[in-house]
Amino acid sequence: MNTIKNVKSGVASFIVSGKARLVILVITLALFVLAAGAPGASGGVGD
Amino acid sequence: MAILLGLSSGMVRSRLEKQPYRSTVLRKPGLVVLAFLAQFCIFQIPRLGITPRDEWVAWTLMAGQVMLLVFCYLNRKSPGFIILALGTLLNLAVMLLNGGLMPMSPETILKLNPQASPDNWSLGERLGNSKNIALTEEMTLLSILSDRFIFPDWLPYRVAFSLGDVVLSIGAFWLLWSLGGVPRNYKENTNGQKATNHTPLRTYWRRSHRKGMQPDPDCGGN
Repeated sequence: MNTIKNVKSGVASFIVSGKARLVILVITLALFVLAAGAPGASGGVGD
Repeated sequence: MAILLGLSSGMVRSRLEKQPYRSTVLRKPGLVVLAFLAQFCIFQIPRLGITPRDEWVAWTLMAGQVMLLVFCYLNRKSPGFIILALGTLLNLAVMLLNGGLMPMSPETILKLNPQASPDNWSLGERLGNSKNIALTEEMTLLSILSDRFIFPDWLPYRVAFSLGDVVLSIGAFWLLWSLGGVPRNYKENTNGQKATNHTPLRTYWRRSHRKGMQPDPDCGGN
């Protein structure tokens, strides 16, 4: 029971930590760049 | 590539300036996820044997770009988002003016894939399952903003990109680079002590940091 509580609090503290924010920022930015300007797929040309 | 470059150079900058590499809290990141997922789905549908109409693809792309612009507006106070919005606008403009898809000239198509058979594409048609439409320079409105640039031959990454994509990359780089420096609008540390009107904020941040005070990670810089 205590182990579960420790894991839960560990996860919760990670989510609000600076590292988690940075991970979220980088993932969001990567998705943004892909969605806004995914380079023209060369695959469609040669198919 | 811009993200990796921005992240690594931002971290080097933070080491050189002896500052912690900060993060910034984004507002409504769900908009980006939604825009990405919508595009992902529309480009993956053909794998299920369903061919989406070009209009659906165009509308999905347009809706995605608008969502990204709203996201940029909501986060406009964070560094780099104005540049990201500009890049998105440039791509949106050329797509809007050319039927909702990103134009690509036959010259670029042949540069990308010299073996591409003319049977596989025709002018005015969507290129395979991509976001591009084949249009000559003369047929394209604002052709300067179309997918017309390609990487040099010595790079194995064979894709076309637009001026908007370049601006987007600069925005992404700028955002990640700026997080390694001192925030300009830093006003208060975690001890609740405020900078005086006479103390330049950057100087105040450095002094506070030297004294061992913990900087507020929520404090985004411009």
